[in-house]
Amino acid sequence: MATLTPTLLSGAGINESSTMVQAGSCGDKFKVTGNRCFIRLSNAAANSRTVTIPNQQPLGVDITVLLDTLLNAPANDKMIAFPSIDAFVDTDGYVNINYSAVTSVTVGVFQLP
Amino acid sequence: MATNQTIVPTPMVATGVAQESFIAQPTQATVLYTPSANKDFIVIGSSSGTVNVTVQAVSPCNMPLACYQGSGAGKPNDHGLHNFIMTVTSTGTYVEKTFVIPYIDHYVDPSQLDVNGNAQVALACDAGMTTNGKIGIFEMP
Repeated sequence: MATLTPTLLSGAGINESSTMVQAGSCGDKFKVTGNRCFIRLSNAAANSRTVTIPNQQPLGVDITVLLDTLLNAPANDKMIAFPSIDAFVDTDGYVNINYSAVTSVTVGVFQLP
Repeated sequence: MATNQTIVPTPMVATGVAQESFIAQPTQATVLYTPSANKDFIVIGSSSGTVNVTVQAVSPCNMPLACYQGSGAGKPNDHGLHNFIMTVTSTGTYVEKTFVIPYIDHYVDPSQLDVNGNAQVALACDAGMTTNGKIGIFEMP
């Protein structure tokens, strides 16, 4: 599982797409440094992808997002935010991201100051 | 005829927001939005050339260095304060940048109230923005 480093947004402006990386074949994870972060996902494959962010709380509901089959990425990019990110933090302090398939899927994590 | 365009920030949700669906060319040179305590970010795109969006400071900033960031030549505006300018340059292909306006309180204009009576921030779009630019405003939970 690859570790992602959140990119801090600022007044200088960030080209989000240029900071996104290939999704990890065994999933990705990132360390939470605040509640104001979001994940951006892009799928340039011919097939849809399902992305799951497991809820770490007993009986908690996972976040599941379908990335469409459109090939005109980044037009079909999706951004995921957390109403309460604590529920998704595992015992090591990471939020985990799992993918149904990773070919042509890119991901980035962004943090508001 | 309206001279300002009001944008309601798009709420970010756990089920995912299709970002590009909420980014569009501004219809007016001035875009107004109601900020919410450091939870907003702004996406600006350019399909050709340089586009600029200027946020006019309306109150003094206690941290001048931060106010200078992104303020171009750093010249004070009519209020003697430093504006904040967001610039995106395209060399042919569409380019997008995501910005967070630092010290947003200094850009909230009490003379620009929304329908609920809340003060808004005015974003001045240059000619490049209204012809080749796009803008979207998003709000974290």
